[in-house]
Amino acid sequence: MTARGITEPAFLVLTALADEARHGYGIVGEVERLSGGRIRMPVGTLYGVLDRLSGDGLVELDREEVQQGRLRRYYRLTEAGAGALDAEAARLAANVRAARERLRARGLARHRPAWEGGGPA
Amino acid sequence: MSSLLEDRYRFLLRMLPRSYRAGGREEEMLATYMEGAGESEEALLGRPRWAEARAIAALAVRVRLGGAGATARSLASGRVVRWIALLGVAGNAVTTGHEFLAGLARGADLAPLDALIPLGWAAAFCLLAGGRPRAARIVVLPVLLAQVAVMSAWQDAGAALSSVPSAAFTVAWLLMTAVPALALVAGYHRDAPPPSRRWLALLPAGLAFAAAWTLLPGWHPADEAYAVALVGAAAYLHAGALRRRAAPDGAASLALAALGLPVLLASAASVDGRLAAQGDGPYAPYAAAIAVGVTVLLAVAVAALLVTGVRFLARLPAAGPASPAPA
Repeated sequence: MTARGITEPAFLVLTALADEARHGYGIVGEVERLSGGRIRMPVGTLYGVLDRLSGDGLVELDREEVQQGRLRRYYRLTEAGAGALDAEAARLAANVRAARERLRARGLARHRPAWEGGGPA
Repeated sequence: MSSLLEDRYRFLLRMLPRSYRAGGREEEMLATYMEGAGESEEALLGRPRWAEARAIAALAVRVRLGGAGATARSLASGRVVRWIALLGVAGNAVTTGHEFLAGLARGADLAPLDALIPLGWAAAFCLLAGGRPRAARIVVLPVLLAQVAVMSAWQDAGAALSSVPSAAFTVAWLLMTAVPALALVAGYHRDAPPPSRRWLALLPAGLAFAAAWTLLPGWHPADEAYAVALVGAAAYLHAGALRRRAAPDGAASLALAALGLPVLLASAASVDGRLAAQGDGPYAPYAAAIAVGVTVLLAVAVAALLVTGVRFLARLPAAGPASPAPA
């Protein structure tokens, strides 16, 4: 875990790399899917995030390929990256749990997730 | 054969330093972009969307000013810009604050903006030195715009009275006001470390210095005090280096030189006016010696700082890999 904390784009990039190594466009597409289409990450932003995560040792280069004359570099999560993602996911889950408990106490928990018997109340 | 979209995106990538684009990073970014563009509106129009251009511009600023993936020279450039921001914003907070307090003391007719501008600079400085540079960046731009508006109104009022400040003085004043604000916005990006909280002491120390300056006999404008403070800072920097038997901090030297140049321009442009303002009073020769002496001392200090700073930057390697090697 870094002292700076993990921003939402960095969190989504780490999540996109959690199951397999991906190249730049693969990460952009996965981030868009994970965010429900909310975040379409510009390429400049993606490489800024990758530079920061590489510098912190959370991701690393996996391999290079040339596809139809274009260079693809695949990135993968490191052990430190998996640990940072796990810790951040636990922190966010705790925040969500606390918010839901407070809303339930107010009778306002209208949008419960599927795993809680979901759907609007 | 490359498409118009590819050519235009490659043109945008030239905003990034050559060292960053080297080692395949340019081709990698281009491939990522072109795969995503596919049959999108961007591909049909042959023009990357605004968000892509903005993201590359932001990345270019961060990489050039010490962000992740930066070279040693970019890291040093980032330190120079952050020194300019810290010292320049403090200087603006002190000079505008002192002018406001001096105006209050002599019962001048002050507008609300005359109070809000020094408060804005002081707030930006306290946020920056207090470890919240992102908030400081938000505060500083409206303050800069307000001060430029006030200066523009002064120019109009001066034109009505046929006493417009010289072009050199106006340019110097604009640089002294705008450069620290822009340095704050560019230099304190996400990857930049916040300054030490001990710099918070700079604001009360600067105000105490400005108050003491007004006790000098004769009339001495704020830019004269600014010049003396810069000469003092340069002397402190070099004396500390001599004590440690090491070279002075090159980044701080270059920042002080950058802040000193517009002050020197203002000082040199206003020597005649300052000498005339002394009149024939008993302190006139003494005050005139200060007016000329400060300008000469500042010129020597700026030259020494420039030499130290440029030597420091020239010693650093300009290139370095942007992408990590495969593990």
